[in-house]
Amino acid sequence: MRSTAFTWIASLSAALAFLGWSSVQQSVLAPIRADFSGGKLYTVAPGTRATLRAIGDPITLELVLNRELVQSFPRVRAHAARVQEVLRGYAALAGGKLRIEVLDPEPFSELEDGVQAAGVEPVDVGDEDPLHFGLIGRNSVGDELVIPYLAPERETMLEYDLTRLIAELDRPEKPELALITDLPGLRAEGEAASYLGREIRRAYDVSLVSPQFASLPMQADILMIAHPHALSEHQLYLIDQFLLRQGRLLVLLDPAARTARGIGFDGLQQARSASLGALGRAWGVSLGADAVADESLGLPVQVRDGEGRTSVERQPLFLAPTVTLTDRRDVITADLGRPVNWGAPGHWTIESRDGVTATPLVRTTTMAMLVPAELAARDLNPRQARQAGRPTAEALTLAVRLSGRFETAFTGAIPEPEAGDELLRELERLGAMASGERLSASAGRGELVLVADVDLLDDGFYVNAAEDVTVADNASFILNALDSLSGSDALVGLRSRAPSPRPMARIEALREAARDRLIAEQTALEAQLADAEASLQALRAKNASSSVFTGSLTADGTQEERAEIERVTIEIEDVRGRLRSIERAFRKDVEDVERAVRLINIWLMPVLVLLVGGGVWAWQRRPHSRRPDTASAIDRGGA
Amino acid sequence: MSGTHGLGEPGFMAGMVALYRRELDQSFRSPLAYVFIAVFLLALGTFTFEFGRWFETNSVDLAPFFAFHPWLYVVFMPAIAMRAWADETRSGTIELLFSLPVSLPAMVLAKFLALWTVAALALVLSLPMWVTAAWLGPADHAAIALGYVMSLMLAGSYIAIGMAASALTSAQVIAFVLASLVGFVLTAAGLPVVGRGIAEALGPSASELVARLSLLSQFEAAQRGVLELRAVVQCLAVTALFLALSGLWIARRRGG
Repeated sequence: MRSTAFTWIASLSAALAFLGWSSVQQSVLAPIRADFSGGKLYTVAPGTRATLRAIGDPITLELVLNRELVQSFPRVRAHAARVQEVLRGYAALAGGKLRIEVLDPEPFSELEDGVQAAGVEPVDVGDEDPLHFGLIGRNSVGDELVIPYLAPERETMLEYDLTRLIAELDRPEKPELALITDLPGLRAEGEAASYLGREIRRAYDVSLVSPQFASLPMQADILMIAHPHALSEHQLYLIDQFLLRQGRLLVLLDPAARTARGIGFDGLQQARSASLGALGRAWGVSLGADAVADESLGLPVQVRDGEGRTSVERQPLFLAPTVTLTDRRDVITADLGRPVNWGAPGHWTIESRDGVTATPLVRTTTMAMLVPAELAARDLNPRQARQAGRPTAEALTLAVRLSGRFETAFTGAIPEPEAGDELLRELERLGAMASGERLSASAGRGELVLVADVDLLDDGFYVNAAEDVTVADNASFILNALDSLSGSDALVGLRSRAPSPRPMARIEALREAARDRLIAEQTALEAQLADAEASLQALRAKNASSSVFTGSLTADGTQEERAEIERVTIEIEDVRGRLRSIERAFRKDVEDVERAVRLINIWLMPVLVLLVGGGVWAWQRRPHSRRPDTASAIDRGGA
Repeated sequence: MSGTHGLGEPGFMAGMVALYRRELDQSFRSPLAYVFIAVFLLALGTFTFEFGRWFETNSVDLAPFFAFHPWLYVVFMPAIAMRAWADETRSGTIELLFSLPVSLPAMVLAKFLALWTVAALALVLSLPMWVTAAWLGPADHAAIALGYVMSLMLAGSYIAIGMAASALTSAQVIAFVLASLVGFVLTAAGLPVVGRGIAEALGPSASELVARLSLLSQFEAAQRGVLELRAVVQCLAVTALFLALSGLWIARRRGG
C-alpha cells in the first residue's frame, strides 16, 4: 500500500531526474548522429578538416547573438543552435588553434556599438530592439572578417562561409586574378557587381585589365577572360605568353551571349564573343559558330500564348545538364550537387595536341541541336527555338579542361601593339622586355579551362534575388574552376552542400509527353485556323470590292459566295473548339494522376480499415460468438 | 494463465507477453480501434494534400506529410490511451488485474506496448504515401525511413502521456483533455510565445533548454535526414518518465 506522500515525492523526483537528464544529454550526446541527408549537411567535409588542421596562428571567432530576443524567431533560433554546434565541432577539429566566443550584447551597451562598428548587421525584427546574429573573425595580426548576418536561408552554405572565413584569416593574401572582360557585372564592384563578381572579389585580388591593354600583369596567379573586346594580335600574344609562363587560364566565350547584347543597330553583334584566333589553333580548340540547344535538358520557362494564357514549357536553349553529364572525377565538377544553368551556349571542338590532355567537363546529351547564333541571341520562345534547331545526334562539349605543356601560337616575329601613342608603345615594349624573355612552350605545367557560355555568369540565370541565394551551381562552378586553377583544392569540395532537388518526375514527364503528343496537333490546328481566317478576310474583301455596298455580306455576293463564307466561319469555330480541348488535354493526364493519388492516400486505407472493423463487429454480434476465453468471461461478468 | 512456472510469480517477460496479447486482443475486438485508425489516416491524408499542398510543392520530399504527425498525435494518442486504466477502473476489472501474478512494471509495459502496436499499425497503413512518393520521383528513402522511425518514437511519447493521464483520473474525458493539453505544451514548447515568456522569466538558457525539449524539435533533424541519438534518447526519456508516473499513480489507486 502506497501513501499519497510517497507517490507525489516519487513523481517529483522522476520529473526532476527527467529535466536533469534532458539538459545534460543534449550536449553530451550531440555529436552522435548518422547523416543520411542529401548533401551530407551534418558531416564535416574533408576540405574543412584540412583547412582547420592547417591553421597557423590562432584565430578567434566571435558569434554575436541576442539570445533572449532570438527566442521569438524559431527558424533563426534553430539556425543559431546549429551554428553554435558547428563552431564547437570546428574548435574540436582545430585542436586549440580556433577559439569560439559567444557575445550577447545588451541594447545600447558598448559591446553593441563595438559589434555594429565591426560590421554585424542590426536586423529590424519588429521589436523595439534589433536582432544581432553575425560572426566576427580575428586573426593574430589584427585582421578582421565579418559575416554581418547568418541567414537561415544560407544554411546549406554555412560550412563554406565559415571555412572560407577561416581560410582567409589564416592566409590573408588573396591570390591575384587578372580579369579581361567586357561584361558590366564582372567589371563593376560593390552593389553594381553581379553575385559572381562579388564572390570573385571576396576570394581574389582582382586586377581589372583595360580593353586596350598593351601589357598584362605577368605576376598574377590566374588570368580570367570572359567575353572580351576584340583582341588584337599583340593582345593575343600577351595572353599566349601568360599561359606559357604562369600556366593558369580560364576562358569564357559565347557565340550567343544574350546577356551581353547591346542596344542599337549592332547590338546583336556584341553578342558574339571575340575569337581566340591563333590561340585556338595552337591549343587545338575552336568554338562552334552556332549555339547549342537540347530539348531534354531544357529549363522550364513561362510562355505566354497570344490569348493571355501562360503555360510552362522547356526552353531548349537554356540547358541544365544533369550531374551525370559532368565529369565526376575532375575536382571542378565532381562535387556540384545541383546543375549549372547555361544560356544558349556554344560548344568546343577539340583536336588532340601532343603533351596536352583534354578532359571534357560538361556535355550535352545526344539530343543536342545547333541553332544559328544570331537567332539564339534573340528572344526566341521554346517553339521557335525547336524549329530553328538542326539535330546533331552527338553529345557536344560545353566545358573542357586542357592540361599539360602548351606550344606558343606565335612562332614568327612578335606582333606589334595597336597603332597609338609612340611614347606609350615604346614604354610598353620596354615593359614587355622587362617581364622576361619570350617563351616558345610552357615553362611548367599549364592548366586551361574553357567554358562555352557567358550567360551563365549573369544573375538572372541562377540567383534568387529576393533571398540572395543561388538556385543553381553556376557561381560554384566558376569559383571551383578558379580555386582549382589557383591550387586551392581544399575549398573546392565545400561549395555545394545543397541537397539535389527531388521533383515529381513522373508528373513532369506526363506534362512533357502531353506536350509532345499535342504540340503537333496544336500547331496544325493553329495553321489551319490562320488559313481559314485569311481566306475569310479574302472573301470579305472580294465581296466588298465587287459591290457598291460594303460591310453587309449577306446582302451581297452570290449564293455560292455566301455559302463559302458560312462554311469558313463554321470551320473557324470548330478549329477554335478543338484547340480549347487540346489545352484541356494538356492538363488531363496530370489531373488524372493527382486524383488517383489522392484517392489512394486519403481514402483507400481508412475505408479498408472500417470494412475490417465492421466485419469484426458483425462477427462479434453473431449468436454463439462468445468464445471460451478468460478475458471475455471477465468482461461479461464485470459489465 | 499461460506462462506461469507452477507456484510463485511468472517470469517478467512471460507475464508481460501474456498481458500484452490480452490487451491487443481487447483493442481489436472493439470497433473503437478501427475507427481511430481510419480517422487518423483520413486526417493525415487530408492534411498532407490540402493543408500541406503536397502536389504544389512539386517535390517528392515527404516533409509536408511528416509535419502533421506530432500535431495529430497530440489529439489521437490520448484518444486511444485514455481507456488504458480508466476503463478498467470503471468496469471493475482493475482489481482482477492487480490480483494477477504480474508485476506492476510488466503491466504498465504490456499496456504501453499494445497501444504502441496500434499506433505502429496506423503508421504502417500510411505507407502508400511512401510508395506514392517513390513512384512519382526520386524519393529520398533514407530520409523517409528515418521520418517513420522518429514518428514511431514520438507516438510512444504521446501514448505514455495519455496513459499517465488515464492513471490519474478514472474519467476518460478528463484523461483525454489532460493528456492532450500536456502533449500540446510539450509540442509547442518550441514556439515563440512560450519561448519568449520563459526567457524573460528564467533567462535565455532556460528558454533554449525548453525549446530543445520540445518534441517538435526532436523531429526536425530527422525530417532533414539526420538520425540524432539525442533525439531518440529524448523521446525515450519522455516515454520513460510518463510510464513511470503512470505506474506510480495507478499503484496509488490500487493501494487507496
